[in-house]
Amino acid sequence: MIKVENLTQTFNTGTIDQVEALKSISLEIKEHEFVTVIGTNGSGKSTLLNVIAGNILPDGGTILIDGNDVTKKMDYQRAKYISRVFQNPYSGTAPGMTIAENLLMAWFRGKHRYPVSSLNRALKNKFREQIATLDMQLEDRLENLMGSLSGGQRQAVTLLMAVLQTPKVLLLDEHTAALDPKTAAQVLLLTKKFAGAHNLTVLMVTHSMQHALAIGTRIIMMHNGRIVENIGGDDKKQLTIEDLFAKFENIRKLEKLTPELIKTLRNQYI
Amino acid sequence: MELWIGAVNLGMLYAFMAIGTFITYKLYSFPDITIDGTFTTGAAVASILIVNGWNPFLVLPVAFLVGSMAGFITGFIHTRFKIEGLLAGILVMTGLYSVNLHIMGKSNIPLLNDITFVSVIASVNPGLNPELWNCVFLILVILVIWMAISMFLNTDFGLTMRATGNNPIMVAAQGVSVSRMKIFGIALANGLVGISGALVAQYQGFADVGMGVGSIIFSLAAVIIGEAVLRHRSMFIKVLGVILGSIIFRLAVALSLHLGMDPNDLKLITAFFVLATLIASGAFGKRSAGLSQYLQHLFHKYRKSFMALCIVLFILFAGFLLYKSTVFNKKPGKMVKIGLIMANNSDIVTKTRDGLISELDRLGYRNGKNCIILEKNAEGDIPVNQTIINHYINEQVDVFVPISTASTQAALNKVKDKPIVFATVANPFVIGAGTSPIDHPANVTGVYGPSPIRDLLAVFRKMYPGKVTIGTIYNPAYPNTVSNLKDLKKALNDDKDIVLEEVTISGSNDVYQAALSLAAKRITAFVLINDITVFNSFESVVRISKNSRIPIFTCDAERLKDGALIAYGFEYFVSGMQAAHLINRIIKGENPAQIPFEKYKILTYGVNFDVAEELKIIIPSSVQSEANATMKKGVLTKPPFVLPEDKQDLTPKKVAFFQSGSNSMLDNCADGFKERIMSESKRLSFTLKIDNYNALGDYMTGQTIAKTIADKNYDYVVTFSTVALQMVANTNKKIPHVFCAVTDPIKAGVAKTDVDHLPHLTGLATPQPVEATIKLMRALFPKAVKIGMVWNTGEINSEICTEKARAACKNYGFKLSERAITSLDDIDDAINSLTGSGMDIFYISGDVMISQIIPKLALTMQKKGIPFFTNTDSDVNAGSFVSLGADYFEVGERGAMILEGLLYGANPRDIPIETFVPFSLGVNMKLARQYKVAVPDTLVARAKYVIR
Repeated sequence: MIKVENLTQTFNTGTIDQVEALKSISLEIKEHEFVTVIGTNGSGKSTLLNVIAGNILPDGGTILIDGNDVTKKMDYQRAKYISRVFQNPYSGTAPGMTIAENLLMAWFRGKHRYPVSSLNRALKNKFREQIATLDMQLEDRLENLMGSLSGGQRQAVTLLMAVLQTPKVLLLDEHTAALDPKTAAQVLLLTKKFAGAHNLTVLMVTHSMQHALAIGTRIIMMHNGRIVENIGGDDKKQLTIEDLFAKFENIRKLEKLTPELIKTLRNQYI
Repeated sequence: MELWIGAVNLGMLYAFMAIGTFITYKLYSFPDITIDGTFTTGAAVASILIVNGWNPFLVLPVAFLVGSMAGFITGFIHTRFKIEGLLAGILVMTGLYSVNLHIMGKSNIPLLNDITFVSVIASVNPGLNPELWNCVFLILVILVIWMAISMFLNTDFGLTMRATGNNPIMVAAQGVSVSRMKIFGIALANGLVGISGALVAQYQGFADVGMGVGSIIFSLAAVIIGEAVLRHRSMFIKVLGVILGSIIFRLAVALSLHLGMDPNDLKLITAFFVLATLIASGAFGKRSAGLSQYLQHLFHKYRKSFMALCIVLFILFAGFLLYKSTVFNKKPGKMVKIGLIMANNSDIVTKTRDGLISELDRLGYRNGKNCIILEKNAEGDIPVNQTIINHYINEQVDVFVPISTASTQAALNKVKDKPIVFATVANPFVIGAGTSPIDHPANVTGVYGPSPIRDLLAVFRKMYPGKVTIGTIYNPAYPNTVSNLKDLKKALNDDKDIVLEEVTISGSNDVYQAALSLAAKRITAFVLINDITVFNSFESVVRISKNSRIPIFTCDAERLKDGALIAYGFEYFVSGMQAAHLINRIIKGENPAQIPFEKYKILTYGVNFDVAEELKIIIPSSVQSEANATMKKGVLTKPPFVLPEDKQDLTPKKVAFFQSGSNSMLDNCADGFKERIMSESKRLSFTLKIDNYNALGDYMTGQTIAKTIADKNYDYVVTFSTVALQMVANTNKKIPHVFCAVTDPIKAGVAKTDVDHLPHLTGLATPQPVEATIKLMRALFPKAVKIGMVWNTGEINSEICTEKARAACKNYGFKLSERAITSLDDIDDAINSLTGSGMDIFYISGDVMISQIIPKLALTMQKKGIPFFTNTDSDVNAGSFVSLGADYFEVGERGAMILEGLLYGANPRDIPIETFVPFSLGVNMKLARQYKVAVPDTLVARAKYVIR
């Protein structure tokens, strides 16, 4: 479903702040796969997500979604394939508009909008049914302003909006990071529920190893702009928190071996 | 009442703009300054199309399109190049200024005589107060716009627009191009602003390049007031709030005007009212929210039927108006044909014709619209009169209007079954038109009058008693001349001490010879009876008069300015006006047989003091005091055409003085006016109650003042400046109106010629003496080549002045190098580029903007050693070298004399607009020495200001 090849991305090119965020990343995610991405800060996991979403156009490499080359497409042009949930619970919804109106925006994701009124009683009923699945007692608040909801509620609605029209790919960018643990668990549960119900292809970036283990079919670990681990299938199922810690510890040790040091070592031993 | 309705109407017109700002500012958080330019663009496009005959409703979509193009550019610059929104707006607004000038072709387009939406809806007025009728129409329009905009903002597309403003990240994630949405919204908003401009221009009757300034402030205020007054998140309530906000703001301006505050405090008071509205709506917040809730509830309940009703009403009304506006010009049925026959091009005939045409116009006869006015001139060839008459008979002319005796004679011979109305015939009874004013051919009537030759002789006798010889010249080919001569001889029968020497001529070429021969006979004076041949070469007689010091006495009022010492005669302009009334009566169905011939009603008794001085003749005080017209220092002063039936009314008169802004010129003019009128009113025992208004240079305030004046039942209005004239001319169609400090009333749109002006107003045209200034430059600097000039494209007077300078420079062999600026920020660059290209003389156009910094400019020029010429006499005090301009204090005084005429009962329509430029000179002799220029003593002696 998603196929990226040799993706590179450098920020602040030519300045002392130059950062190679992605170093020739290649990755393939099959249909109905649920991939979680973990990594340290600055490992490039968010950049990878943004490049796939189209917020950032990559310096090199190609991105195929469902067989379509979208490398040069803008974010809004990719929206017909991709739906997204942001880390900031306030980014995914318009606070000055009602819940129903927000849902209407998502209803037309990736489609043309015409000067006609589609928000009739039938559609509102459909929205009401959908929002009931969130289990947050929002069914009777369709006409309330989005701004009157809590962060967790808004993130839940954003999630609902993301799957209102079944997307080819759902991108989740640390979407539980800004929520309190209880709400985070609730949203994660909803994520699992929707992913299962719609049989979605998901790419979820998270900072929580627990979440990464609890959800998904594959874990990708990123470090320094590279994919350092790619654990799927039964390996993933048997993976424990300790294993993950061990892998991180490993990386941390490797970190101390600077390229110069490796060179010296090689000269000495080979 | 009109004041309040007018304020509501203005509020509704400006509401289009406020809705535009609501879209950009409230929905997109994008304070779009472009609208300051777009408002004018809409007005400019609409005006230029209307002037070119477009339907006043069809110009609205065009204004919308052009406005949205401007908005598109702002949006594009903002999104494509990531330029800060405020800056993008400023850039486009700045550019639009030039675009607007290009569209308009000049800085001001008057629409007073064109078909606007106001005139179209006025034509279907069932009898309501016009302002109220406008209000009814505008309410309907604004209801539909309210519906349309709110409904649009609730559609899928509209919701997406709102979401774009609310959370761009979210809409991008939903597949919406934020850039495109923004561009669309800004374009839509500016389209609405364009419509607003197009409507306001039609409503106020002109478009001006400066009219958009401050739009953004006003519309932001309207949006914020609206938000404070009605609080509900429903788009219907929000848009309604914006409309109300716009109306409330206009009402606040009207209220502060109504309270008659000191004009200087006007803006402060307006600001205060707006603040009070905001505070009050805050204090009653809950109640206001409740009201909004209730409104929303009501609206929601009856939404569909309400919408349907509005739309049906609108379509019916719009369809009717569109139909009405397309058939506006066509009047069913046959149009009456009026045929003018003029014998020649003499002044007498031309004046009569002008009076006749302008009076017909006032009586509602519009050539090509509801009547056909044919004009033909025999050019002095008597048989051609007959040819013209035959031609008119073939053309089935309904009323024959011969002007002058020769034409009348031809008409009388040929036309027996159609009415004839003659004008300017000395004695109709000698050419077969009956025996007395009431005993005449059944199809004939007209205006006549023998020359007041006896009265002229009486004046002559006061100056020259005893035994004297007088000389006269005449062409015996004209019956009326012979008749005039008979009258002269009859009058002389009673005074045997006067000997008459007469010389006959057969053409204009003989006049000089004839005058010479009379001079040789040592006559005391030429006494000239009305004779077209003689008057056509009147200059010949004047030359002999000067050389031989023989004064000219004549019966033709027009000859006073040409060099006659005494002119005692009728005003032929009035003859034409009287004839127009007779034509009107006949067309209305009266039988010409029942209409007695009328005598001329207005007489001029004029003394030419310039001639008196030249010929060294002392005018006796008795003559001086009796005369009602004078020629002094090249300025002709005539009494207004007071019709005899008008009587003096001694009740107190309310007079409104309206100044559009404050500067030394306008203040001087107003001071001169006030001083003179106050002292005269005491002397003449008129009681005047004067209210002063000053718009402080602000358009919207000016408009509201103009409304107030029209509303408050003033007896007279006096305006100072062109803008003030235009604003009042638009709101007021009945209160007599005197204007001063206007460069060109014709370009201002209130007049077609000096006599053909709007009937309720008259005043003074005071063009700057540009040609004289440039002539003076040539005299003082014979070797100078290049004149550098800076002018302001935003002021029509500046433009007129520059146009004149171009022509004058050609005549006097200068090269004119001009720099047009739009703001004082550009002046330094303009001057540097002028001095860089090597100018010999620096000149400014006398516009208000550049005049503010004369001391600075003078200093720069003195340093550079470039002579600096300006057009306000007192500028030499500020450092200019030579300043030749009009004395505006005197202009004001002269304007006061016109008001006196009106107080005496004169009708403004009878008073031609007078071109009045009292030259006033300032010269700096210190600089003259520095520039090594010899300023003639005669010039210095005439100067009002001399720096030594």
